[in-house]
Amino acid sequence: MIATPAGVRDMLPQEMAEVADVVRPFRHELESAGFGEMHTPALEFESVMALGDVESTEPAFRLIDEMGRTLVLRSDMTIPVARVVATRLREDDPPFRLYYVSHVYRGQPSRAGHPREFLQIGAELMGRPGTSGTLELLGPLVRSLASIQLERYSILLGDTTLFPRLLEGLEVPEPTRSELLHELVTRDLAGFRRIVETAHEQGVMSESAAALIQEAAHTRGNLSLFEDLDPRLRGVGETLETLLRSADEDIRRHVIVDFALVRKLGYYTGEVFEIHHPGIGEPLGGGGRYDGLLARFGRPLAATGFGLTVERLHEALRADDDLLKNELRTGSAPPAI
Amino acid sequence: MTRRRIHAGGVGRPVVAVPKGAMYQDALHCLTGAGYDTNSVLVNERKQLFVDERIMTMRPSDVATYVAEGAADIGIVGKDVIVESALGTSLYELVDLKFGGCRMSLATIAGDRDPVWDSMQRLGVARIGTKYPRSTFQWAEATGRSVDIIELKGSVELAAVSGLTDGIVDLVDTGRTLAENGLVERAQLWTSTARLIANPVSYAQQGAEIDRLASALEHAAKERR
Repeated sequence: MIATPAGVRDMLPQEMAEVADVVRPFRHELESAGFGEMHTPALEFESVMALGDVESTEPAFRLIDEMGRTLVLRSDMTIPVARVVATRLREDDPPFRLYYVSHVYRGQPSRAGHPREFLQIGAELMGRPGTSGTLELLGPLVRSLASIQLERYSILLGDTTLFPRLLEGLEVPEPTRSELLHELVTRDLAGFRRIVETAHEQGVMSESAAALIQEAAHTRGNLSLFEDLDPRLRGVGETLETLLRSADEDIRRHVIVDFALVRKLGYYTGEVFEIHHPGIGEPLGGGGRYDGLLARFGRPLAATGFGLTVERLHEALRADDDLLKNELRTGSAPPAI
Repeated sequence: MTRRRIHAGGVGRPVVAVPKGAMYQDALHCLTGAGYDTNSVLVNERKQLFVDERIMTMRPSDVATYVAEGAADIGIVGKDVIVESALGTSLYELVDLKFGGCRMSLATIAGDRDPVWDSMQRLGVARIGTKYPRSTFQWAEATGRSVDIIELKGSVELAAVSGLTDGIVDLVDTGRTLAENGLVERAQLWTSTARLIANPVSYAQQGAEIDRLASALEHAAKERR
């Protein structure tokens, strides 16, 4: 059989040239912001990848080397970069500004748009804590997206600590607390409400707490949303409000705050975000703060990063063309589907 | 990852995927209550895409796929389809609309001897025919049973009465089809109702509009009960 395995593919000159046009402006913007490109090998020790979040980045492809050690094809780029900062760069002073354009390997089922090999462009900013660190990372991201002329994308911004803090403040007991967080991760808001209602009926949650938790799960919008918010919600959303107030307009106009956003990767410890485009049904990528990850490699440093799938950026640019054309169409002439 | 052609960048009413079959009338009724124009949908049974009305109609099991991929913004679908599709975080499940109730059940040939139980006792494993292999597997795993799953496409009752399998796992509404084929329910795996689901990108970008629709649909569903 002369074929490639499912989920991987060859790329020919036209596609390569178009992809290069997507990557080039990113390189330029990231380097202007002081980020340096790095390479890490596609093969890592399984024990190193396992220092990250095994459950969600679980490597799919394993090899046994001649010494009997287990190697994996990397399923994530943040973990290898953290490894380098904790080892090769251990004598160097932070902050570290590093970026990569690298292939990542996942074992996802071969659903459309979920290949086993895909190209990620991403940047990691290590040793810069807090919202100022996050903003320093979002700046070049937004400028890169502007320079490839991607229009109408949005940055969905959340905080992984928001709901745990809210539930703790309202003294929601276990196991209700874990159950609610689980429903947020799995995006089952119907299940979320059922748990809130049950907890209220059983008397472990007051009516006002139940209403507040339910409201928090649907709190979404731009900066103006904070003004009318219940003081308790505004309190737990303080980091997000601070971040947005300090952000310049180029960032702010793309941001949609979502109190219920939780990213699947377990190493995130604060602000998290996803990049969405109306023409593509799935996120182009995302990122967030992971202040605890580097400590697992023996070098505690606050850090933040983003990663975007280049193939999806490429698709989004094509969709932008279509969307602009659609706008010119009249309502009576339905586009082909 | 689908390029979404009938969206004008999230401008306008969210595009909704509607399941044909048992939930069809309830779903259209609720959508009418929420402000969708369903008149032409009701009189055009074969047409699938209603561009001006922002409605698509399809087989129930396809609704989750259209929404997860983003070809539709929202959809109405049974919980059973969500479980079976295993699309995980590619979907938001927003509201339990509580119509279209049915249960996923294990059924075998009627009589004193339960062939599934008998096979498990004497052979350690039972053969189960189903259109829902994932639900069947999850149930077997959660209850510590060992099953050989035979995936079928058509009416599965035949599998149990012909002896292809010891039993079947299938959606049951009234139980009449089972009885007509000489089968009885031996266990209920779980119950399922209609849910409103949303594409994550649509929900991020049109969250307020979709939340408003969710309340309107829930209200219309409650009125109908």
